[in-house]
Amino acid sequence: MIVLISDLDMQGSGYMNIAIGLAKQMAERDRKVTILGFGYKGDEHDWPFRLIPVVTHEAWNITPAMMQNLLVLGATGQTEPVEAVIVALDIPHHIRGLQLPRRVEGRAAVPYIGIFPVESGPLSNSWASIIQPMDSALVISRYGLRMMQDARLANGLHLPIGLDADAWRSVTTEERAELRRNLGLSPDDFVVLTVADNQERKNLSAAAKGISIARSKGVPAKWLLVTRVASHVGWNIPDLSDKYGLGDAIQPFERGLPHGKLWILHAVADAFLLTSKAEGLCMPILEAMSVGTPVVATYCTAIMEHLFEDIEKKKGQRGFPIEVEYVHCDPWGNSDRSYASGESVAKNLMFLHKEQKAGIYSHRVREITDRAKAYARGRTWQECGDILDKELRRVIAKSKVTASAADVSGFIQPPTIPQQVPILIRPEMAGLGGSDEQTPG
Amino acid sequence: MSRRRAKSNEQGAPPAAADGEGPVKAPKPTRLTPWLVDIIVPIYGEWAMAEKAIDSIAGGCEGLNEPYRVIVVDNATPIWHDGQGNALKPEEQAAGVKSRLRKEDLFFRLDLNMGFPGALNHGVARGSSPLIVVLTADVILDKGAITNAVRALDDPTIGVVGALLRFPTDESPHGPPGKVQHAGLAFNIKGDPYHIFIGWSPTNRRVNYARKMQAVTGALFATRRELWVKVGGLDAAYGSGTFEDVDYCFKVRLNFQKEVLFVPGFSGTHYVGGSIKKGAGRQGFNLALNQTVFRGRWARQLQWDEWRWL
Repeated sequence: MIVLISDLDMQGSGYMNIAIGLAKQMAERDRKVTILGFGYKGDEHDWPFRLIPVVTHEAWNITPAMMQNLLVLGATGQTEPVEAVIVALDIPHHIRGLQLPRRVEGRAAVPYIGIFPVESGPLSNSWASIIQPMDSALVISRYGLRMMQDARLANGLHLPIGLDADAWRSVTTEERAELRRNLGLSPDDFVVLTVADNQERKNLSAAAKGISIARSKGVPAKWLLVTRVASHVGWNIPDLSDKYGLGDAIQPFERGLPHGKLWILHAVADAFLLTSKAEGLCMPILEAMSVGTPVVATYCTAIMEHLFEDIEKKKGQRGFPIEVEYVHCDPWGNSDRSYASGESVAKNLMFLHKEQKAGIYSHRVREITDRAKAYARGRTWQECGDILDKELRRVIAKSKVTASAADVSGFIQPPTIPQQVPILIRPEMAGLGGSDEQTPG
Repeated sequence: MSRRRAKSNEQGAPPAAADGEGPVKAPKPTRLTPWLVDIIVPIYGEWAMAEKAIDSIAGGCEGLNEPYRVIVVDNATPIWHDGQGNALKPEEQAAGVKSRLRKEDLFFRLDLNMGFPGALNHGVARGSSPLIVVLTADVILDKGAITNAVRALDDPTIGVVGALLRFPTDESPHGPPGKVQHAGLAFNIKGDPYHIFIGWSPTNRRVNYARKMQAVTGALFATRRELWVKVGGLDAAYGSGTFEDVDYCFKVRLNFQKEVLFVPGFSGTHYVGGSIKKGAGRQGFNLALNQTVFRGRWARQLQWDEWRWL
């Protein structure tokens, strides 16, 4: 059994798609997979693997108990033995991940595979030291791998996350026109789509500023913004709209849209805009590319490898880079943050608007979007699964070889109850409040 | 059905051999009561709901081919005022339910509200059938539901049969219409029981198969009188109710070594909370206290088991 630990919040977590895609790949290769899903609330599924809910705020308190139980249950033949643990989360979470129980008495420790993004470089010493003890460190962008190499980490490998090309199919001209009509968009509207969480890294204000400038210069831009509309750590969207005079040109959508609805927004868009200060991968860019929408995005971090085939020579253009106004050092890993220029956003949008006639892009733009489409669709889950499977084989084999004779001798006592059960005294139990009004069932 | 029951009766007799050769046939035990199943329906106030539940019993017993008896317990329903100055006496409220009962069925009223566990204990005590089905007044049975539960009890190792309950399609404030309300109770890593697969499609392959579980809901379940008596019925320490059903399942499994089996064919629609709107629901169920009582008894026996089903 492979235990996979990740964020499975179905309301827009980027990790969810990665975890589900990887688990499917492992299942296709006859591996038994158990996901401990942070934020997963027990929604119905029919995936070929176990998916156990873990309440996010107590995740690191209960996940060790789950791991310990799975190890013992596996070692005593009550379920499949645990062969490896994969943790797909941001780098700081791997501190806790690496502290998870990974061995039962008399058995070798199961190997640890970390999957993570490097949102931005340089990789600090403290973060590099988190990655260093992993048996395998799979980073989800080439940029991230380069940052790891710069930090002299030797255990890194690029895991090219796959994309479901059927789910992100392109749209025909007729279909697009009809969808736009249904959404109340006029043929003249220049529809800009942004899919980004409402948090500082996404730099939504730069996008708003850029759209505002473009509108002032004659681009009839409408901004479809899929985000966390009411976020206590993000922008107040109505105020942002007022500040940049966007009025009803902005149409916000709450994140976590079902796939079909999100595809429609991609299908009607004339441009996909992302002004992030840093990205570890950014699946929405790849999804937009797969649908055939021109991508306008900050020229930084992993976004660079999406926008150009050859970053050094800026050859093989696949998207439209936004110039970086300035870079600062962020508290998040002491890494760089690249601030997109609002002027550059506007310049790109104006260019794209100019290159369009009756909703159809010029050959010049289509050449770029076709290249982008081929790139995005070339990223298959099959390839991603092959790489992960090869790594699993390698680390599992290595863990067996490196286990000393002392490690693997001895008996495992089959426990009758293979878990600790904390006795919880809650405030309401102690008469300190809490409601007794409950519906039985 | 009677032949099936003779094969694996409660005394644990070996299966009867075919005529002619082989071991001597096990003697068929004589049942000391004309009924195979007592169906206990406790009611506190929600008579209209209970009428629907009772109406569904005949269909629930479709294919049973064995006599059953319905035992209705009025759990001391008080006089209700309809808001226009009219007072309805309990016997007037109960008229609809009574009119639905057959002559062999039983209706009786408790002078004092005994809570859900107490009402059931009284109801079971009035009966004599070897098998018991507990039917809460807010559950509408599917056709053949009770027959499927009885079939499951043909296996002498089974002590309790739990049901697949769905949220109603017409009125569903507690969950998505037509989806699973109950498919057994699972225990999370902290040892807390919860309704696994709540909100899922009843036909999902993870849901729709018979499985042994640690506990099932008391809203609809079947058990053996012999076990019920040994266990001492539902524990009145749980007051109005909650956790008494889980406690019963634990006693059956751990004290008497019988299994608790979830059977998806034992199914119905659960108008969650519909049986307690006027009664105990208003007073509130002491969930926290009952959870503490339950944990105090069974903490060492709780097993994390959600991983088996999810």
